[in-house]
Amino acid sequence: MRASLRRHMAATAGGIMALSLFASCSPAETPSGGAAAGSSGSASATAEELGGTLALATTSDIGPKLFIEDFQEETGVTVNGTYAEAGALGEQLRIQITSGTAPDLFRSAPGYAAPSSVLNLAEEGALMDLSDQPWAANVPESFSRLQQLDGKTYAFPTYGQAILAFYNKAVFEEVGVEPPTTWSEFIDVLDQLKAAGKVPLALGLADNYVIQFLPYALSATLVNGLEPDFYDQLEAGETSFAESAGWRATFEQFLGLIEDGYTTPSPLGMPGDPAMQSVGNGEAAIVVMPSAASPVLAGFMEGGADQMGSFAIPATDSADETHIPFTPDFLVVNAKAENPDAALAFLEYISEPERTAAWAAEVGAIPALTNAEPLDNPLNQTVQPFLDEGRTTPFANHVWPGGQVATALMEVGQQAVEGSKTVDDLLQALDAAYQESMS
Amino acid sequence: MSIALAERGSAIPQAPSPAAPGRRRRGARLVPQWFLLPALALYAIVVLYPSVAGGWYAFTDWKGGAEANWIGLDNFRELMADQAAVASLRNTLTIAVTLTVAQSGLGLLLALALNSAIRARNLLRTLFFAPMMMPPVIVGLLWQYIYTPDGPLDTAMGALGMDGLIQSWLGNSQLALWAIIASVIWHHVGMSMVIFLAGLQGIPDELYESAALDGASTLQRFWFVTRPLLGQATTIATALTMTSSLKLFDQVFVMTGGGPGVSTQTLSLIMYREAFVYGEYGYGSAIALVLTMIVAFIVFLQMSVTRRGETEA
Repeated sequence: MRASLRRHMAATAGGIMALSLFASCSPAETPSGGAAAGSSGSASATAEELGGTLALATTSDIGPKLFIEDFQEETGVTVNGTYAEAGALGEQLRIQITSGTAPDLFRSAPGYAAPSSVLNLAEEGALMDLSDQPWAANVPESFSRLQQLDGKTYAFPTYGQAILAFYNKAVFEEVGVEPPTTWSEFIDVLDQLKAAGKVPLALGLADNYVIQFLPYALSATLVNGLEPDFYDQLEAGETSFAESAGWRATFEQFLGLIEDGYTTPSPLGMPGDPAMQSVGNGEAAIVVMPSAASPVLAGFMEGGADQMGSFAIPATDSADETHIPFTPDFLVVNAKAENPDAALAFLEYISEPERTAAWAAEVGAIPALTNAEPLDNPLNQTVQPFLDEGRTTPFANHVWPGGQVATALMEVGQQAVEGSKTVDDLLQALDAAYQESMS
Repeated sequence: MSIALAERGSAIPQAPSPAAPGRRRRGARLVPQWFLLPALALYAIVVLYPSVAGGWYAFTDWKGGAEANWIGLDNFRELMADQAAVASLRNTLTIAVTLTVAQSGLGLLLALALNSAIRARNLLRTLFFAPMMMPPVIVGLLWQYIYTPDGPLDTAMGALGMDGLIQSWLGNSQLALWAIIASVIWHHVGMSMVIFLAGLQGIPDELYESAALDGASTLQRFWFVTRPLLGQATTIATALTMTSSLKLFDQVFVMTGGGPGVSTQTLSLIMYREAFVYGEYGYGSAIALVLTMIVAFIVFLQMSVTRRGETEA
């Protein structure tokens, strides 16, 4: 039991990390010599004009530290980095921006997801317009809603993460099933897993943020894919969550999975990390989560990352319609930066294709810029076809105006799982929270 | 300057002016106060100023940016109309009353048991107090694990043949609040026990001996000797429990995040969410101000009642 508790604590730490990453994201793999050799960007071109100190604040030094030494050497800039967990960093930055003491370059959450996220700060005039930067042309179109205001780009996407189904390959082999590509195939796989005595889908809803993952994965196809104008119409007041067939189908399919017994029994009493552990030890087969948490899941598997597979959650019976939620983590430049040239030079320096790829690889993520070198790993192999075909959408909460809508989903969603609220109640709660956020 | 020095260095004895001793005494009296100044300044900067500023922000629409406009009582009107806040207040009061009664009662029972001459009393005192040394977040994670379906609690109940009573402890909105309260009692009961123990050890043995000579039973000795003389300890134990339970945050945040649904939300939790998740710092400050007033009022009321029962040993 002690070992189990230790695993639980470790998993919880991992889960907290994943949550902070889910709220926005983190960084990458050393290009070291290779990166330095490949650098030719403006960082070196303007090296003589730079110097001074660059104040950098982000969630981890794992990505930036790949480049800081070489960047300092090439430009004469001293990088002064501070690192903190996403939530704490966001709270600290919010105060620093108000008091005029924010660093030159800092990490920011996508869209309007948090008080210190990109578009909230851009509206305040707290961020520098980065539209004319050379890397801006390589930002995926699907990110525009998360980082553009009035057609101007305000953020650099360091890397991306996707919400996918991660499964235990040993369990799939034991039961004799393959990753599904359509909703019918998905249900068929779940049936076979259930018949074999496995928990088909691990679901730990005691941690309320977990309730977002499956609906976001389903809505990527059912809403963003099949109703591509939904958010424009919602913003214009021409539609609502309650009127969206896609959102209704999302929650009906999600709740149906629970009602039909495909998920962990009593999911509201199961925390997220033990649910993940159950996939690792083979009691359960599949867990849906952001890719940033996949190293934690791999750690629970006897065979490590080699035993873990991933696939996109299908939501319809046409595999071509499947979209995946894929969202970036951002670096932004303070509009009142003391050393703006150094901040811009650093972004240009890390925007080189091999460096972008190295950063993503270092943190187990996916390169975000379109010109980045694709990574040769199983996770990227799952995601890359969707990136190539433009079938990615932001995480739903990142395009919502503030945190109220996500909170409504977590609160009323749990009540719907418990049976005290209906899908209609849930959709109305999302509409009410959306209107509250917009007011 | 040289003249002044010459005068000061003069060997001729000077008759002290009549006012000088008084000034010196006053100066001497002021010396300790000058030493207090740095600490007072620090206190003003880190406690008084933020508290006053927080009070002011409660009447503004501050969202964390540069602007904070005075909006009078709007935040408080919104709070009164906010169903989530009202539900949170109900949960907060339930937690406070239950914890104060249960934790103090259990702490008193433990103190009475461990104030006797049993052999392992020192070991048991340490064991019961030990959870107090753990950070609340760790306690929350530990109990979240204990309550996991098929986790240690369910396993233990199954082994005792109590399978029929096994529940989804944190997944049932009727049970989750009580499950959290139980974990808080486990965490803090040692503190109440220590306070009551200190009170018990301050009661002279002679009083019990006299009562025994008068033929008082054990129950009568408790009621007529122990209970009144534990008045001060009761005041302290209940006031501390009431204060900490009214602002309970960590364990709720870690174990349920306020769920399922809104069944375990507390005022502290929605204050955190409004301020730090939504960026509604003005509204969050208003909740904090209301919570402070509730804590002050209830603790004042409770201390007034318990102090009436205090008796000096």
